[in-house]
Amino acid sequence: MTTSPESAAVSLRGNELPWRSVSPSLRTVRLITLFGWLVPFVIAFVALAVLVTPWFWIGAGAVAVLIGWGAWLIVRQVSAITWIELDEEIVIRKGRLFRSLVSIPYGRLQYIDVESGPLMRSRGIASCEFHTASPESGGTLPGLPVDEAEALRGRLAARGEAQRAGL
Amino acid sequence: MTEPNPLPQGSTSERDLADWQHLHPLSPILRGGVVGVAIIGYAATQFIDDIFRSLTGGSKDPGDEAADQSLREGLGFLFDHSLATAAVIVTGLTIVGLFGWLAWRFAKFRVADGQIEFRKGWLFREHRQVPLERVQAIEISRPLLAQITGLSQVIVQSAGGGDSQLKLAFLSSGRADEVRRELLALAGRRDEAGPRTAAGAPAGADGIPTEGSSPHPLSLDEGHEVFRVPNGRLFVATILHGGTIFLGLVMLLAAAVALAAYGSRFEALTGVALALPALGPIALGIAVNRVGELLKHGNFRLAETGTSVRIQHGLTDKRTNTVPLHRIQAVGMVQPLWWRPLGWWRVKVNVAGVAHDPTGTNDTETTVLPVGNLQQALDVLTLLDPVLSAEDLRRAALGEGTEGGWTLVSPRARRFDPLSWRRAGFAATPHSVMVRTGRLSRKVSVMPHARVQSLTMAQGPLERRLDLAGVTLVSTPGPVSVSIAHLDLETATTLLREESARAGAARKFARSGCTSADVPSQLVTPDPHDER
Repeated sequence: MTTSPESAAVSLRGNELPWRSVSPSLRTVRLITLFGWLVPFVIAFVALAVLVTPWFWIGAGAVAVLIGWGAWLIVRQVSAITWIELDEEIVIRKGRLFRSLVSIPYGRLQYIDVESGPLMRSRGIASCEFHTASPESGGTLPGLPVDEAEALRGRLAARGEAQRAGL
Repeated sequence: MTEPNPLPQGSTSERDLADWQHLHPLSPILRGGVVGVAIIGYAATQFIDDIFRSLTGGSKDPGDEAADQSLREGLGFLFDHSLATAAVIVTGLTIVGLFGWLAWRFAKFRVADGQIEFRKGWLFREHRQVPLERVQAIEISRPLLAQITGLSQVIVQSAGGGDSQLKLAFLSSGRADEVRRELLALAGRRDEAGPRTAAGAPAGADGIPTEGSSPHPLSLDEGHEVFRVPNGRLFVATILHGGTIFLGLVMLLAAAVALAAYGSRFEALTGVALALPALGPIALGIAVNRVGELLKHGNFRLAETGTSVRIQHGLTDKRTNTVPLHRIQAVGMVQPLWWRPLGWWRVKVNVAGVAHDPTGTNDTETTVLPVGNLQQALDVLTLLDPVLSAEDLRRAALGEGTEGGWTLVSPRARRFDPLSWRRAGFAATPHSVMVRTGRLSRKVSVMPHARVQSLTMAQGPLERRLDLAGVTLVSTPGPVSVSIAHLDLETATTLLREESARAGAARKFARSGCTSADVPSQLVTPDPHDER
């Protein structure tokens, strides 16, 4: 049994391998989304507090705290997403509080989706979703620069073709 | 009707299948049958309701009375104009018949160019095709109405999620068997001829106890029966279930309370009688669930043909499901707490494309042994995958501790698994990974390295404080999940790394298709066409 030196160093937290991060633009996109959803609530609460009763300041404060917490979470989470292409598999790590790692062999890839919404497109990033024969096993790699995502898809598709395994 | 055949084929039956052909003429009626029965049933209940009401001296509800009145008027109108009624009925029947005929006329299937195709629909046409090498399993099903008319439906399962099956409903039973056989033969030509028998201990040979039946040909088909579940045992096993036991306990409690309060046996019985309706909906739900299970698994028979297993089951809806052995992705056995005194186990498998329904209504497709003793379960497992060793499996089923190459969850996991931390663990053989969990209700899952879809490792905040992590070997959707939580982080990481390497090696071996002494024989059949 040969273990390639690379995959022998995969770990949940370690940094022995040249793990790559996703684009910092993902943080921006997620923050914009967060603000887009919650800031109107703050404004509404403030308006109500001024016009109706000061009690609404509590609501405004709560939403503001929520925004702060969400922003902190996003910053931490985005920086926690790391990935690496090894000889036979792509490994994606995510999360800080709840850490997870998924290792998808190229030979098991059925297809790869590259998606990007208008917001993501405007920041020049896309997300890659990897599909295997099992719906639960797929990994998602959000926030790659668009050309990098396309290149990754091409590369993995080629490798998948070469290492394709029967079900 | 039959279009010219583009592919000249060998045998007559193949040429037969290569032409477009119709389903059985009765099939629209049978498919519509359910609706028909529902309508008749509804009408009947209404009618009975009416009679009942007139017997009891009419209803008290004025609203009901009004409805009754209008109904009576309507019926009166129909009786007064019997000609019009007849015309309505005839027109209705003609329209239904016409649609039925059209549905039949436009539903055609054929097997040609390496795929099975099915067309249907007149206004909204549908054309579905499944390449033969994607065929995962073929099932023959006989619902009650079809049984009466001697028809069957053929269900072709292919990998690809919920709606990926192709259903030929209905064919005459003989024809259905023929189609299934031909499909299996054609599909098998592409990807079977596997190395199975090389490693395999044919099931009959090592004396599978078949509950009083020596291996003999199935009435339905080729292949020999290796196992049969007596309905009596199935009945007991079905009753021994969390729901029924809960129900029994509640009734005992009610009886005890009544006995304590009134001190007479009769009152105790009354207590039970009172508890039952109070639990009404729950009791009914449990009963329906249990009866459904019994109906599904009744008459269970398992046969093997060398390259596939055939499962026959069903008391009312008779089904025959053929699963090629090399399509099995993972196997598992479970022993609910209630079965422990009897030492019974259930064996389930993951088959790609056989949709697993988490609610359990479709579970029969993946159950290869509804109930059997340990030896029978082991026999079935080694039949499904001859490379598995019964000794290893026995240790997985009953064992505790590290004996036999098992790695356990971390002792620090004790607070998560107060009961099972001494048992829960995994072991890797050259061929597969075995995971055992559960101390009260035991569970064993086995997955060949060559079947690993992907690997995941996860760690929550609590696990992190204890330096633990869980690893999952992801399989295709199905009842068997190969997952072990609360391993020592070091162990989990090692498992992930090693399994990644082992799975890679197994895939390479499967691709190369060679057999060598030092690499364990896999049930993967190398197939250049199989591009999944």
